Amino acid sequence: MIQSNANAIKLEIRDLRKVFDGAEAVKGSNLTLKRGEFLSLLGPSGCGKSTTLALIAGFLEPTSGEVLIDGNPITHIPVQKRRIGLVFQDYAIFTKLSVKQNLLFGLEAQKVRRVEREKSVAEFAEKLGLNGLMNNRGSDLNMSEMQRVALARVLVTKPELLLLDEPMSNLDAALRASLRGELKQIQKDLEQTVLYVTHDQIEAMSMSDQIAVMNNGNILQIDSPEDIYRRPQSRFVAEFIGEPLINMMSCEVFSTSDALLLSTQAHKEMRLQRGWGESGKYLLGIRSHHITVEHEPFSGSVGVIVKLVENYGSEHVLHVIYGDESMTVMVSPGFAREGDNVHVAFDLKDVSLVDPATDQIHHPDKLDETA
Amino acid sequence: MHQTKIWVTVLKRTAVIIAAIIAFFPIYWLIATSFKPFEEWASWPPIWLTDNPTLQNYRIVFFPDMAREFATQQSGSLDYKVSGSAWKAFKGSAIISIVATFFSVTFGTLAAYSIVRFNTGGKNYPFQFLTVRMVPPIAVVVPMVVLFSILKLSDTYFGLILAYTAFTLPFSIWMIRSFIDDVPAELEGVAMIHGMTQLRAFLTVTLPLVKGGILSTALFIFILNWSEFLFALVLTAGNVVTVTLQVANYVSASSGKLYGVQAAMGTVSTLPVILFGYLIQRHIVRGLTFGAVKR
Repeated sequence: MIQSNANAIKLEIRDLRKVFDGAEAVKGSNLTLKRGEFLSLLGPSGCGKSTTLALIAGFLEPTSGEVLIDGNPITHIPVQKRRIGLVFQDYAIFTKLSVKQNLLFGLEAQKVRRVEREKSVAEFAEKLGLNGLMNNRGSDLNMSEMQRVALARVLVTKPELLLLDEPMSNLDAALRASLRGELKQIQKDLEQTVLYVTHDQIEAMSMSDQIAVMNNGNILQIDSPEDIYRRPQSRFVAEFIGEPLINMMSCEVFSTSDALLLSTQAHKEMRLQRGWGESGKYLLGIRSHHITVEHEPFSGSVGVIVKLVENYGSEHVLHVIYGDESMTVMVSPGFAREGDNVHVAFDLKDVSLVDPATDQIHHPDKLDETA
Repeated sequence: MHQTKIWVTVLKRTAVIIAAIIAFFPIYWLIATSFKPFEEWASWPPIWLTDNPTLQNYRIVFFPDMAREFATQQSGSLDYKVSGSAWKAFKGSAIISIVATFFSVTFGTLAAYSIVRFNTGGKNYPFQFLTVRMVPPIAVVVPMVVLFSILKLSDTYFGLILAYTAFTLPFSIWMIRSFIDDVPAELEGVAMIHGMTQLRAFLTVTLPLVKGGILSTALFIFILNWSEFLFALVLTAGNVVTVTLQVANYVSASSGKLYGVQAAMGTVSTLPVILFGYLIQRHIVRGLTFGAVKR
């Protein structure tokens, strides 16, 4: 059966590996990207995400594995024949050429007819707000203008697949925030398939349809931003995503004749549903804003002392002493001060249980459904 | 406080002036001597600026036959019989220096590109090139004479071009390598992403950016070739003459070295280098930033 165009797989990488001088930079990655989809490759620096990008673009040859575009293997096709667009981290604007010449560059290289060249360039100059800059030299542009020019220069060639390598890392925070929305809008308008490499979780969360979290050359999880945040499958993903850092408390699971119970240092014998798993010691991951906090005791709460208040502006983060561990709780500003007594509780459905031996995560409620 | 600043400035300027005098003195002496008549070439005390300027030395360089007649009329005061011709020497030096510089810079550019972009030969390869220059040329002269005579390259233009290219190539590679290194690979990456082969990307993107560097290298190599003496001396036998050899040819049996004539030849032979330098000077400026890439 022929797949409908909208769901066609644009990019697929199969067991992609890259070894540099004995060091494995990419360790057998698998990934698929549908047409028109925005996928972010998210990970800390040195995790292999830029190497993956270079393998897809064709600047590097994989040690093993395959890259497919529209189902056709392109692993041994040279860069210039892949019809993939790429925006480099530093934009690589031709500083001696004018903005217009920069935009025309790709079309000239591809020997597109003059009339069409002018038309396409005018169209994308308009889209990216470059009309006032067309005669400026590349060397006169600031970072955000360079970024637009680099983006327009590649979009004008209508690439099958657009690769973006940390395109916002040179911009300041305010500019980044406005460009995120703009970039997403352009991507949606053009139905452009995008693979976006970043170490910034906010960029990945706000723009992506799918996020692939990468660490140490492995893709750990590919999911929607929502699931990456709510249902991390490994400790790394749980701790890499989210601000402030997810709480990791020690806990123990044990079974009695009629129930499976979970105890932390402060909360005792919380009831887990049967069929969840085995007894043993775990780490309990809970995000700061999933913790309910009140001034007065309430059902299921335990009392804790506020050690430190961190001001995030719109929110405050309380560092409280939970058993002998530290825990962060998100509250509205002015809720409590250092030294105050407050009461906290959380729902087990928001909890990620990390198996300390494997760093894999079990989600109690998800497993309940299947049980 | 202000006073000390002035003294520092005065001291600095004085040092610069002294350094400039030391640097320019040989040039001054060369030019001054080239206009001196025979008696003043090596007189004591030295004559700084002659009161009897003459073009006789230049006449001998450019019109040796006329000069000889003139000397005869002066009742043999000086034996002006010199071997070789300056014209032939200029022709020889021009052919050898230009062709050898062209080869050296062309091969140097290609090799440097390969080393920078493809890491050809590994990390230590560029240093291995430099070891060629660690051997004093005099040490390889004898084997080269033997080799050249076996290969029938002695006393040919091709032979000297080959030798000069080989001996200046390390400099070419080393210098051009640093210029190419300054061009971000991403700029070529953009060209390749847009459908250019790596060779076309190199020619259209990188080469225009390193043009100034390549021309500076060419000037440097040209000066080396133009002023080379040792190989020219041992690898030729009269058929091929270079400017440096011709300077040494201005010797007479009765009067020894003809310093004035040598100075005239020396003065004239610096002109092509100055001309070349003047023509490319606007390309030598390297202040322009190549790409928008932060290093």
